[in-house]
Amino acid sequence: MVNLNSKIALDVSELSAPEPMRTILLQLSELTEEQYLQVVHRKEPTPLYKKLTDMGFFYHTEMNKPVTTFVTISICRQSQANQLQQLLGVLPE
Amino acid sequence: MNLSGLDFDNIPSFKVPLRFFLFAPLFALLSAAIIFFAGEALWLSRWSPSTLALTHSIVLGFISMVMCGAVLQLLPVLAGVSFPYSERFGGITAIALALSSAVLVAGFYFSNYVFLKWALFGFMLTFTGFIGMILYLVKHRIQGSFSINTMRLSFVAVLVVVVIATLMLADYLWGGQFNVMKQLTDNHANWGLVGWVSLMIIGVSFQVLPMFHVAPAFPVWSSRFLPAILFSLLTLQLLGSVLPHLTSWGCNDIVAVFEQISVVLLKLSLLTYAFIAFWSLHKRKRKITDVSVTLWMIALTSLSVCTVVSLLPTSAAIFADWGWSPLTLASVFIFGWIMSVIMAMLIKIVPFLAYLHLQRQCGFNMQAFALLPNMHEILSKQRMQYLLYCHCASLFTLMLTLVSTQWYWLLSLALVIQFSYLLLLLCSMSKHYNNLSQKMTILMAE
Repeated sequence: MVNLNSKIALDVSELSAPEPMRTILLQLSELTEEQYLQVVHRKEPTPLYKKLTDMGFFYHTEMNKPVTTFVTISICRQSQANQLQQLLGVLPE
Repeated sequence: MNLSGLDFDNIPSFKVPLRFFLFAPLFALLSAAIIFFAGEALWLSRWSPSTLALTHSIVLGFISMVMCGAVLQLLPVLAGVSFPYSERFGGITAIALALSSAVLVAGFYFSNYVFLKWALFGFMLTFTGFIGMILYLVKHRIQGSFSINTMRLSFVAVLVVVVIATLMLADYLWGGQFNVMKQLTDNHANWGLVGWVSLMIIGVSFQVLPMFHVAPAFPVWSSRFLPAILFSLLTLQLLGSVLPHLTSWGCNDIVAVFEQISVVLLKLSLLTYAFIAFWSLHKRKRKITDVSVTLWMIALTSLSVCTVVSLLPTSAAIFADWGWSPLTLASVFIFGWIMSVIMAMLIKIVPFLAYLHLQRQCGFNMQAFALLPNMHEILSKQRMQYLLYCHCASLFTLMLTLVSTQWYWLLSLALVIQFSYLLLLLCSMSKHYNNLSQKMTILMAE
């Protein structure tokens, strides 16, 4: 099993539409098994979620409210979902 | 911006709105020709045949054409409903709207009754069919966004415009049935420019300013109440101006006061919207130079100037004293406010739609993502900047012509340059889109 050990940070919170989606998709096309993508966005990118699931990715969203209005979305391959949840400390009991 | 309300799965093909967008500059060029051939007389009265031809060529042929194209594309995204037979429906609507507008403009310009009758028939069919279909599609969307609710009011407004226009044309063609023609004409213009066009712009701006300019969302109270207030004030104004002429109930003075109050409140509401939109753009996250923002600023300044000046009780007399054309405020409202917003939206929406369709074409093919273009690859910053210069030149020559009508030929020339360039940009974006789409098809077939 490949270890998930490399984070790629991506801040799209100040990009106007459709650059956040384009940037995320370009990064995803280069994402390897041991990497996960951590995206900072100003809003929940709902149109992206369906695409991620259909393309075989797992994602976890953290709302940073009430401190900021930003959201952080961590994305990895579906096969690495457990590892990502462990890394983020959100693995369900 | 509420992305959770958006649905990008139901969008009709890129061809559907593009047809409308490509027809629109042709009508702007027709308007330039009318300005050139009508000469100085056009600017003396709003009632002259050439003035009526010009205003309808711009408002129906350009403005409404772009708005109908944008609605066909945006509504499925905002409301989450798909248009059945969208390509056929869009194609027929675009051609019917173009033909009806051309015949109406010819009817006004040549004062030809036969053309006007055909145009009346054409518009009744086109707009009733188009708006009826749209209202039917959005009727079940009860939890609609503020944008959708505002657009609904705008669609009802255009039906009011069509009804008033039908009454006016019927009166014109079959001779003096009504004694309220002046009031109907004012209401026709108000419902068209404020109810149909401005409400649509306001509704779309709730979504596009935060989306394309990373600006904060409009305050909830403004997006919830302002459109309804505008619509209610228009209704009060219509009733207040027409009812006293149709009934004899003896309260005409009170109704006249109510009508005056609703006119003032309507202008104040538009001014409030302008200030909120200024605030939203001023608070945007990245204060980078953007042609679209500059066009929005020009538009909002024009709207503010028009409302403030028209609130002055002596503005008409001042314009007359200074020798300015009586069409000054209407011209600044149409070209400064509405046309500036439409230019701002076109340079954002067309590249965005091209991108959106290409992204859908990629599907789940990750290799194809590499071909997804940056917005500025579809329309470069430099080209947008040239378009802005052209628009400013047209606005400047319009002001010059309003002060001194002898400059009409320069305005005509500026419009020809601006809209030929816009047409060229639209064709170029369409070609670029087709090239990328073909490349993707080949890549995905490998």
